[in-house]
Amino acid sequence: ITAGETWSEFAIRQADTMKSLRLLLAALAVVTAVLADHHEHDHEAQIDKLLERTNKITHDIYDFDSKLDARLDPARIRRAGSLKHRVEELEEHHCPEHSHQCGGDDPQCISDLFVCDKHVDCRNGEDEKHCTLPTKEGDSFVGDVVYDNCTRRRPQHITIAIESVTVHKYYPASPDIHAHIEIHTDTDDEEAHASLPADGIYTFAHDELYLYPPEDDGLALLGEFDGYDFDHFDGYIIHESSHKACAHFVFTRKK
Amino acid sequence: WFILLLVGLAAADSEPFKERQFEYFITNQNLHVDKLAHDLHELEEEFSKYSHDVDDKTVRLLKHRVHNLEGPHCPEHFSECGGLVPQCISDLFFCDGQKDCKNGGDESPQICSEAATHVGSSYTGIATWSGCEESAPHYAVVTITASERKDFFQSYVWVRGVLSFEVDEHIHTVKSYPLRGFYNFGSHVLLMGPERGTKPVYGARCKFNMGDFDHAECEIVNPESLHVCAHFFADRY
Repeated sequence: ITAGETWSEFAIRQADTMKSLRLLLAALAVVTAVLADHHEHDHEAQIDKLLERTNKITHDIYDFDSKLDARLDPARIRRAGSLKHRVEELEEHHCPEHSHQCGGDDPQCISDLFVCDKHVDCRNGEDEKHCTLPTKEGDSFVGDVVYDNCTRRRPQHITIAIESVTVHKYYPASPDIHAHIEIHTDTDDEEAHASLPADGIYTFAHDELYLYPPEDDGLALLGEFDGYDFDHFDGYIIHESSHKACAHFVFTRKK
Repeated sequence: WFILLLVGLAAADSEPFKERQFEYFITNQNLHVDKLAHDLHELEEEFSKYSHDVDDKTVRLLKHRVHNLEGPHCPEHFSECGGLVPQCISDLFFCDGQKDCKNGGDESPQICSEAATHVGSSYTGIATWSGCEESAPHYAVVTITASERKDFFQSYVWVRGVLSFEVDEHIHTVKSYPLRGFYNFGSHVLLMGPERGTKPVYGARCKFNMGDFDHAECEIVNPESLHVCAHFFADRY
């Protein structure tokens, strides 16, 4: 990638190359077809040689193709994005509170409320480009405890099962989520299972899932995706009133 | 035109004609393949003009630098288990043959590698002095001369070594201090103080926080206060 070029531009350019590759392969198919038709006389040797050449070039084309694929590997782009996000977290926030950085080469700030509202607000359109909901109906995430100073049951794992999602037609920027929080605890004296229904919202502006307290203890769950890797998120149990985190779980999508 | 050709072929059934026809086909198809080879070569040329892949080492180094900035991840005398779910366990529990991390990270071969303390290992860099010594930046070397790991306490490797540094490039004055200390697997820190019976002048502390055993951040310290006299980025040499 040359300097000043974004990943998407690179991808488009690569796609052009892919087109020429496809043409090459098509031409190759014609060659092979004609060869098959005339495979009858005593000119075997000549034909075999031609076939061999054809096979070799096919091989070379596939080699080149896989080289291109390796550069465009989505998993790799995701990993690079996650690392970039970690650096961005370390950097000073360039946008005021409750506003969102458009990203790309154009550091523009727009209100959080405008991200993924089906209306382009960023000059580069970034605010409407990444609007796939990672917590869809039927998805479930298993969280392993990092620390826990507040939950009632002190579980080792928590499972969040997304039961239903409601996207509001007039305000799609934060869909309503209905989930179940499954907690299984196994102490010396008893084994208990709890399935707490919880309502919440997903906010595209922060890639955050927020579940309102399912019990009367005022403990809510805040799930933070990094914006690139949507198979993991950091889940913090926070006091609804103070927004102070008192427990941390790392969630992984159940496949 | 392929179809026309085939029709023509069927009509004219004479041998020399067929022969010429065959030659024509072979030459033609060879030319096709030549064209393909040429096109492919051009694509490859174009591709090679783009910047190459970053090598894994650079990426690993970058990740560790980010990680170091994100820290400290654990309280003092505790270190990370690594892996997806962060967990801290005491430095005394690493590589002791007992799994203390939930993911077993404290006993992983990468963490428990003794590579840092192999006898003869030498870490060199240009030391910048911020005190203790009136010296312009010069090379400093920490060399491991002996190492021992006790069976009953495996989370440390006890080492002997030498700290040397140049103080004057014209007359090549080199100061050397025999040191002894230990390496801890959990914190990846090599910490050495003055050898028994020597004057307590300098100690050395090297932190292998770059994701491998070939790079370290080293400091020359006062052995009593651990006050930093000089620091250098060391490469294994």
